[in-house]
Amino acid sequence: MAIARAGAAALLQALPGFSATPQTRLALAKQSVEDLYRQVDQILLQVLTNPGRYPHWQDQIDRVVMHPLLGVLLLMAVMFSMFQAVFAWAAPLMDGITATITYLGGMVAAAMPPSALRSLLVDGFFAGVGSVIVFLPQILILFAFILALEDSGYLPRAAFLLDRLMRGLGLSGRAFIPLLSSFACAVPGIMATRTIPDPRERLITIMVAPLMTCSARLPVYALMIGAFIPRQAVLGVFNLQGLTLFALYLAGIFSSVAVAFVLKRAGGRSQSYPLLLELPSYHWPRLRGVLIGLWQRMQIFLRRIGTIILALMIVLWFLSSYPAPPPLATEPAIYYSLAGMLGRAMEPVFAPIGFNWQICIALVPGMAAREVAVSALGTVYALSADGDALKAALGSIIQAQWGLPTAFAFIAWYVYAPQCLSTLVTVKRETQSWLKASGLALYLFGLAYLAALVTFRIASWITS
Amino acid sequence: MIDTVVVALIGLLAVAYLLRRLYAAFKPKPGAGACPGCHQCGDASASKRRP
Repeated sequence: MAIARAGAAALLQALPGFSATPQTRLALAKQSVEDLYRQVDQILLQVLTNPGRYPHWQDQIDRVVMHPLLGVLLLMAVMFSMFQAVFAWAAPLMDGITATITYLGGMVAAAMPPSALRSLLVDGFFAGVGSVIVFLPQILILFAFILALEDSGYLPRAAFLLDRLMRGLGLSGRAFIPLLSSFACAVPGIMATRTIPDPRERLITIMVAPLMTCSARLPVYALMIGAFIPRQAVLGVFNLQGLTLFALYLAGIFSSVAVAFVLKRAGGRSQSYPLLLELPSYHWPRLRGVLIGLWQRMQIFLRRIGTIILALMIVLWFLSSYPAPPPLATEPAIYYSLAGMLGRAMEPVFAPIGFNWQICIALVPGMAAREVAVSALGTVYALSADGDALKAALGSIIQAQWGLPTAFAFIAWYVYAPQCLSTLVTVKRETQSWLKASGLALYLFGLAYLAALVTFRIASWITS
Repeated sequence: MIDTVVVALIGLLAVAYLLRRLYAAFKPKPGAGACPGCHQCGDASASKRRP
């Protein structure tokens, strides 16, 4: 009742004689905790009807779901199906959105004479912002699964299973919920580490939370997988693209566990705190709840596109368009622009991992948020190409211009790189230390560079 | 000419917005470190402080 609109008032009306006067509060404060619990038990006895025994069939399900081996296998199968669906189901919707954006961009390009405003709309808005909005169906499918699993009562059981595994590897049981939250976004995950009483344990969890695959990485992964991994079946049933996404999520999980293991061993022993979880009974997910959750995710994604990503793309368009190229320029205009100069200045550092100057440009606005790199690549490549018509979809462009080693190195970079300003600021705020936030950024950039370098070298060796 | 002015205005608005966001991110917040009421920890009192 109290969680419904105006429910608090209704609840107060339903409790005749209740008044939280200062005297009542004082009396409550004077009582011991044991007395309060005794009173709570008495009240609960009067107002609660016993729902009876835990249904037998739920016990039977739990015997499989919570089994140390079968449960983990089932969890892997559930995650695996989820990533298969992300690619298999989203494809028609994504194709539809891409066609609509290309059509609208073409219409704008045809309706306006060549000018700065037209370039801003076509190359900045449609090519840049449009290349991120395409991933909305995949994000919604992923969250539909997560919300349905949570609502059905399965997710807390998965948490319990993984807690057992992670504790074996040295992570605190209480670290699990913050790490689970980090799959959506590292910021609430890092804030949720406040529940970890041991300061060192908490710091380790903060340090590994950005390694969990947040939803902002999905557009980057989906772009690269769509462009470089063929849509083919494996063993006649599985989708190779879905398998790759599954492997990337596992890479994030294993990396965080490995880093936590090393940090834990490096600092000696610390006290272990158990994880307390309420396991709700199983039930069918409520459609309304799932739809509300999806609606909220869509709002968050579209708001980001309409605010921070759009603003960054406008600034990037300016930096990529000015100053104008010299009269006898042989390269595209962006090559001579401020962004082009910056990209070329960064290129020597990133050349060993296979990144060209266009990728280097995209990494800079991509520091604000990971998915910005996708729209930045869209704008950069739209301005790099010749001709006036709206250029082809970003996936086709990078497929034609990047080699396989560069694509894999780019993915490896994004598994680790802390390309998210909000996360770094949150780490600073939570640890009250710029040193720790900088340490996190440094170690993650180091890890990203190393992973990209190894990936690039191995992929170059295999493909040569 | 009008095109250039419109583009310049859009650019200025974008820069102003980004600067505002940057300032908001780094600005010390009153009660920093306090519970934001995200319910992640199961703290029932957090319901009084919705995020």
